[in-house]
Amino acid sequence: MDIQLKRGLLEICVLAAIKDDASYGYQIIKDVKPYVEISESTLYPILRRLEAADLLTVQDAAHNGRLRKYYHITPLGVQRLAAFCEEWKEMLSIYQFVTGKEARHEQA
Amino acid sequence: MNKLEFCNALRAHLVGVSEADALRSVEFYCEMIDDRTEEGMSEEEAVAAIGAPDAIAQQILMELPLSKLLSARIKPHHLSTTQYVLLLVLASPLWLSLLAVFAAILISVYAVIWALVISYLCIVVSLLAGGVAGVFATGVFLLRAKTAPALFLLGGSLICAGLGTLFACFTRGVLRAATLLSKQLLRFTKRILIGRRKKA
Repeated sequence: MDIQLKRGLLEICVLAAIKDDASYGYQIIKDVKPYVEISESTLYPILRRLEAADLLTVQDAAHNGRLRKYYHITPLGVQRLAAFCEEWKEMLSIYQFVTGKEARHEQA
Repeated sequence: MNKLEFCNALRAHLVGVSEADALRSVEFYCEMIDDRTEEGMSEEEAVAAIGAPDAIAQQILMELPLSKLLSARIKPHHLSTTQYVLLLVLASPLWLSLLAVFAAILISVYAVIWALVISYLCIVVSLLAGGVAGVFATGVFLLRAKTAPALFLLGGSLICAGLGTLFACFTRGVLRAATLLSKQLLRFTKRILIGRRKKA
């Protein structure tokens, strides 16, 4: 996959992982891994970038006697996800157009 | 490698990062190790799963802005501020000129890339303008009943306009290539400053 595309998609996946509930680093990786390759070293810069862009906030919470960082999505982050879905509705219809055409071409 | 060794190694490799940033990064990775050990992995397995501390540090450093990397490279850590300032002043003929050369090379490469882009745009604009002007000039010649020069001019201006339109189609590609080259140049400079690490 194109590296720029992958970068953008990873940011969206991370936002989606914290959309319904605040989550922590390792959990985010486990949630996203089935869909796209992600590791700690890729996740960390993404989380920093998203925080700098005000798309998520970080809070420490106690867990098993230590502090764990939990990431919460912001309203801006929710907007970003909605914008992504809109963009990809278009992509999907174009994809259907392309594959539909190819199917017809093969039948001919 | 256990968790403590990993965290120390990571901290040691984060040269030039501010205390706060370095602490955040190390905390993040330590937390990852803790989460994994909670799920049943041993510390060694968890550290191995996360990766090599020098590779991770390099990635963190690549995300830093160029200015921070430069100052980190130049400043030695074992000196006090007064000693450092004194050293700077005494050595200024040396490092100042080196810095100037470094900056000059960087700026000139950027300048070459973007000068080429500007020249390309000028070519496009002048071809198109020439085409338009030629058509007007053709009109003038026709008014004076000089058909041969008029036809010649018309042909020439059509060629100019055609070429101009053709090259105009490629401008987006040219701009994109220039932006990509500039970005690669920046990454290359950062990589030189960070220093090459052998891949584990």
